[in-house]
Amino acid sequence: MTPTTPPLLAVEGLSVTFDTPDGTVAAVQNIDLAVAPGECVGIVGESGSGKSQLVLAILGLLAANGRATGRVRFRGTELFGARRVQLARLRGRALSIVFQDPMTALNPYLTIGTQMTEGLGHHLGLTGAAARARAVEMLARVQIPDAAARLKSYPHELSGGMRQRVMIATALLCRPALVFADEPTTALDVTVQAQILALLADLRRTDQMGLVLITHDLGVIAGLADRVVVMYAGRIVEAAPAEALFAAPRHPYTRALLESLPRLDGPADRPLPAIPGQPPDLRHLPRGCAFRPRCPLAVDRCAAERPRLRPAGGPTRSTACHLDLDLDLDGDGGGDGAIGSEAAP
Amino acid sequence: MIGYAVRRLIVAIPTLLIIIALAFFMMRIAPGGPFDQERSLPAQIEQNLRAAYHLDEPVWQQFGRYLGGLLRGDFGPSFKYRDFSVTELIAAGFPVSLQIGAAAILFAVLVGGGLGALAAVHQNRTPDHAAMAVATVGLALPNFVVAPLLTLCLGVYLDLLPVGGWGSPAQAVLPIATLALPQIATIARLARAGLVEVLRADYIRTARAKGLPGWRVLARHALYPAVVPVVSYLGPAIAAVITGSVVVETIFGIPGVGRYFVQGALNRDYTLVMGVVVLYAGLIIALNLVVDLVYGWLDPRVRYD
Repeated sequence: MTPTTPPLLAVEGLSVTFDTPDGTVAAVQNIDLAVAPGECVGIVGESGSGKSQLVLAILGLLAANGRATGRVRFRGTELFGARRVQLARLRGRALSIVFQDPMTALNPYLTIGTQMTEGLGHHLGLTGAAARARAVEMLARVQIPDAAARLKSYPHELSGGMRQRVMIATALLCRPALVFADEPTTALDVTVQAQILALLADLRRTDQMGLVLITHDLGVIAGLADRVVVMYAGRIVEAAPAEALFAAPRHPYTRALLESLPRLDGPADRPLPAIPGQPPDLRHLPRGCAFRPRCPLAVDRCAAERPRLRPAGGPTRSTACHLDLDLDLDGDGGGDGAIGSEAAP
Repeated sequence: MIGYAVRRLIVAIPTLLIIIALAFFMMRIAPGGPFDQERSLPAQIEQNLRAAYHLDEPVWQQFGRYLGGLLRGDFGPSFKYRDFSVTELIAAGFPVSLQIGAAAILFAVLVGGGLGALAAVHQNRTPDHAAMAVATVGLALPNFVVAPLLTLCLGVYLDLLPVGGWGSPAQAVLPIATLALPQIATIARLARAGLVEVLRADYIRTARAKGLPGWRVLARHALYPAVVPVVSYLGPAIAAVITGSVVVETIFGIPGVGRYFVQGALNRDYTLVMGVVVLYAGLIIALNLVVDLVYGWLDPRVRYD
């Protein structure tokens, strides 16, 4: 967001912990995040990096053993102090979410129509034919053929891609001010994916809808996001405007993520680099930087001291790395070192 | 769905035939006969009696005669209650058994479902542990232990309820409670397990994300799927209540078909026992079919065709 726009959503110092039989696990730690009206913030990171739990915590939808602390303000209203009723009034109306797994996120016992229109009735008092008409219109916008007939269908009668589009349509029905989309296009073929992304872009323009896009598809991020937040082991390791981040990542992990993308302009026989090692076990995080065991540039200080998120490379960027990197993806200057292909064992 | 029901009923015919044949021949294998408890009769009179009831014919011929009667809806005369036909005895006893059985099932579904829901909503807290403790006791105690215990405590020591007989609503309380207890236990456990699983489901989170109030999420999204395993258990529950009522009716002196079944077996009242067996078998087959149809109607993923 630009400094002059008041944020739609402002998250400060958000942490999420889970009580497990093995003790308390910190899934998300000390996250700051802001989304302006019409802005799209992409959150990227490997599975288990805490991106989904971050979003669930903001919406108050954590599992029973999860606890969230910190401040979350939506249009200036504190959500964490908010009484349940107040959050319920925002949820589904002003704030909505597209869940990751379309196979399990729809109730198998209720028709698509019931599941789509119940929010309309609850929030907007729209019931019966008016609600159904709104649902059909939205289903058509997410490219569902024969939308009117689909309202009578049960989820098991639809393909995975159709269910995902139903989820997206349901989330958009009440014209929310802010949508969290957790891997919204993974089950879709590329044509439909492009149409859905175009629809989201459209709503951002016409409704000033804010969008938080969680994905590990960096291609989707590049096409849609204004800003990108990179998460690793529950923390933000880098935050930057999308263009700047793709042009010059400042954290070795971001760099490695970008390196592992296939590139059309690269040599065809170049082996696709992978990030060596595994994401760390959140119950036993290493001392110092969580990425250090997999980082080819690690120095002694990385093991001793955890790097804080600090401004780096301009006022709009920050990174959590001790090294002052200016990594250039093309590797032809300025970089303190190339990682990725050389790092593979 | 109608086609499915008709096919199920057609398949039920050989099942019913096998049950009838097994019961018929097992009764005949049991030592003794229907007239053994009479004062010793002159040989000629006993001979005449046996001839009157066709007991002098070969067993297979008697079986054929019995089946022929069944086809005409005739269960034959009772050997013991000589003034009554089996049809009349069942007509007198069945409404009584039906009342007790239906009340027990209803009671079990309401109390068991309520206990299970309470336990699931307060999972791993005191209400959950208390409800599951009650359920375990209910499962562990057989009805011939529960019935005397209830009679002693509520009937004899506290003098709150009559200990037997039939006619007033108060007299129905103990037998219904005895019959319902194990079903309450099983249904409570099923309902708890079903609801606990459903409450963890992704689609419940989706419903909460829509901003629906908690009671609405529970009522519309959670209870319905959680009810399905309970409904599918109702078939076995009905069978268990029917067999349980045989014991319970005898203990509490209730004039239902269950008591006729026990008396008929003791008296070698062949036709009475057979009549009750046919009734029970038909009832269980029919009610299981009803339960399956209801199950298919509840779960949109199950379609019979």
